[in-house]
Amino acid sequence: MRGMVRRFDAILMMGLGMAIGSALAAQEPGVRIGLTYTPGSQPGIYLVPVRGADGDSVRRIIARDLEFGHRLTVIAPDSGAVVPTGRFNYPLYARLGAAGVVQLVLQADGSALVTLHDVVAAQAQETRRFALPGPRLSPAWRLAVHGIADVIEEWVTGTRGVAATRVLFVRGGALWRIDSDGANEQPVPGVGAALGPAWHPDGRSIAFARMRDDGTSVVVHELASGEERRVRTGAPLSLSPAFSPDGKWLAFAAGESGTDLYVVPVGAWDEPPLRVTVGRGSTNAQPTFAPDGRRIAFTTSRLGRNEIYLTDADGANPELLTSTALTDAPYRADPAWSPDGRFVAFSTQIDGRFQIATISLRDRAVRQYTTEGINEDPSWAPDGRHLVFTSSRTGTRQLWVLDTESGRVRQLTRGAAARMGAWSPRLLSVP
Amino acid sequence: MSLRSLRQLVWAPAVLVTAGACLATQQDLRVVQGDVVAVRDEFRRLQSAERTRDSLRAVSLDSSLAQIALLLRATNDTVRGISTTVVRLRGDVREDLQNVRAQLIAIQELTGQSQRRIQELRADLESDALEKSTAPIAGAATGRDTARTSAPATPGPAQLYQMGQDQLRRGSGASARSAFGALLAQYPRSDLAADALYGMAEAYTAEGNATAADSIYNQVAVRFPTSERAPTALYKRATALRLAGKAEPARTLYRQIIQRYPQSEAAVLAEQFVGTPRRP
Repeated sequence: MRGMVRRFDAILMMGLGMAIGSALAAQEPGVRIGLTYTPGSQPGIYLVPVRGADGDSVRRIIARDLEFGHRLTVIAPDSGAVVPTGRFNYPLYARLGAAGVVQLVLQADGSALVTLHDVVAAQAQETRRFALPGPRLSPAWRLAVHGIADVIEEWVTGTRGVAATRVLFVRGGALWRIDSDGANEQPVPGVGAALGPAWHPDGRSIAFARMRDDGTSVVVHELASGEERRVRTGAPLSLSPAFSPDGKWLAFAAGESGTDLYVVPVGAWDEPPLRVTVGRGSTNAQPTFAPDGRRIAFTTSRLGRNEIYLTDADGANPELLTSTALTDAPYRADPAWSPDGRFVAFSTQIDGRFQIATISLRDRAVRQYTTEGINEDPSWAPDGRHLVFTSSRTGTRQLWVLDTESGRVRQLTRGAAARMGAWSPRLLSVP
Repeated sequence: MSLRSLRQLVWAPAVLVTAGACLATQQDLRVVQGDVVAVRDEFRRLQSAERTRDSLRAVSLDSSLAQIALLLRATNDTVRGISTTVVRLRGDVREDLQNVRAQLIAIQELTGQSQRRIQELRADLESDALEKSTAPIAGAATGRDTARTSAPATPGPAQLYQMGQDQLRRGSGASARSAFGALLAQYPRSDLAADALYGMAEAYTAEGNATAADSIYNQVAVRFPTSERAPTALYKRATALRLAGKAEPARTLYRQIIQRYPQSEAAVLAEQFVGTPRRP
């Protein structure tokens, strides 16, 4: 038995070959690797090759999700198809730099049995069975696989990943959606022309502004049924809807020559909306709720130029958030309150071009993230770490994803121009 | 001479006369005929001349009418132009007024921001003064004696207010209340006293203590009725009542805000809760 394990070790080492050489070279002697996650670190994870017809697809999707999460380092994700048998050789994985090993077995009933091994403790740490619904490689099936990656990330880091999410965006005036990894790019059925999409926190319905001949109206759309309700605002212009984090309120801008912010209870679409801002003819739009729902950040022109303001959700205590120097007059817009409540991301004009920045709610410190091209429309992922935004850096406007901790970016959409990305909450089922 | 001859003699002059007359009549007739022709020619000439004059008059009239039409068109164009100018001017004036209004609002906002900035600067100055008063005197540390320090100083009102605000932002309600309370205790006549009291109410709200918050909001309105915080404090009280289902007491408070502070933003917001709700 021991000889067989040794032979397997040799085969596995050969299979991994040069691909892991760099990982081994980077490994400093004496460094302890374990599943005690430290923020800022990226523990190594080895994904054992998966047997079965869809094994490679599953492994590839999960490896990519973990890489896009930026919290774990996937060791040799493209290495050979050698599937270990028998007892796990933890010291070998330790030598590869893995703190954990993920073993996934596709079951006959279509589910997947996933085990996370703690390499340091040399034992299985977590095991769970996941249903993989729908035809293989269908949107529902892929979403379920993304869900596995999110749970693995949570097992290791304590924070659930955001792979099982989607991004709504506007392309050619119509509403589209795309998976967080850039797959399944398609128009949202039954919606057509739309602007400024926003997700309900339950991920089952969305709101957006729809152009009419005589203005715009706010529409709430159920993704599963396609049922739509127009919010009765009574104003020719109604736009930039945003749901409160508890899903009970919908905020939007409405007016004619100027716009003010209003809120209406979700479902009570025929009730008169409650006024939140007193703009006196200025433009007040793009509301975004604080995670506790008690405050709202929004764009306003009441200073003569666009700035980001904060207000209590009942309209009291409006205050300027973004500008501290009275002499500078840039244009700031597109506020997005981070899910952890610590930052507001926004677009700010720097040297005549929009760039993505965040401002700390605690000390008002501003941090700029982009410099290349025109960058706008930030929207937070549910992890409060990643942002999707529109960038013209490749010549056409496309959606990109930014990791605010490392500053790394990746392109999400390709093809025709895309803008106004809105990152979904974590989706437990396909809407 | 026979009768017959006599008759002939009698008739002879008559015949002669008649013949002469006839001859004369024929001549006259010719003359008359000539006159008639002449008259007719004259009439024709006159008719022709009249026609010529008429046509000339018609041409002249047409020309006059055309000129009048042109003048009318020009007048219309002028009137239309003036009307357009008036509309444009009216639009310009309205736009100018809107711009002036927007600038006024911007000035108001900037004034508010300036006040906040001044407040922050005051806090910084107080902080600097505090640091200087507690810092060792230069050169003293080089001697054998320990550094001399002045008597312990306390933070100024702006600094205390800033501390309270910072704590409130950090979500530390108790610390915020402590800073605001120190300001009110040490500087009760400070121009930041109303803000500090309001801040205490906000801290209670953040801590979920609605009863204490309501009480403090009420104190803001009672103790500092001329403060900018007063209408907002009343609005907060009214909103808390409304959300608690106490519609009538809430409405009473909203009406108070509108009556006492009609120019405030809180009054504009309160209006929607006292009458028929208006759509945007």
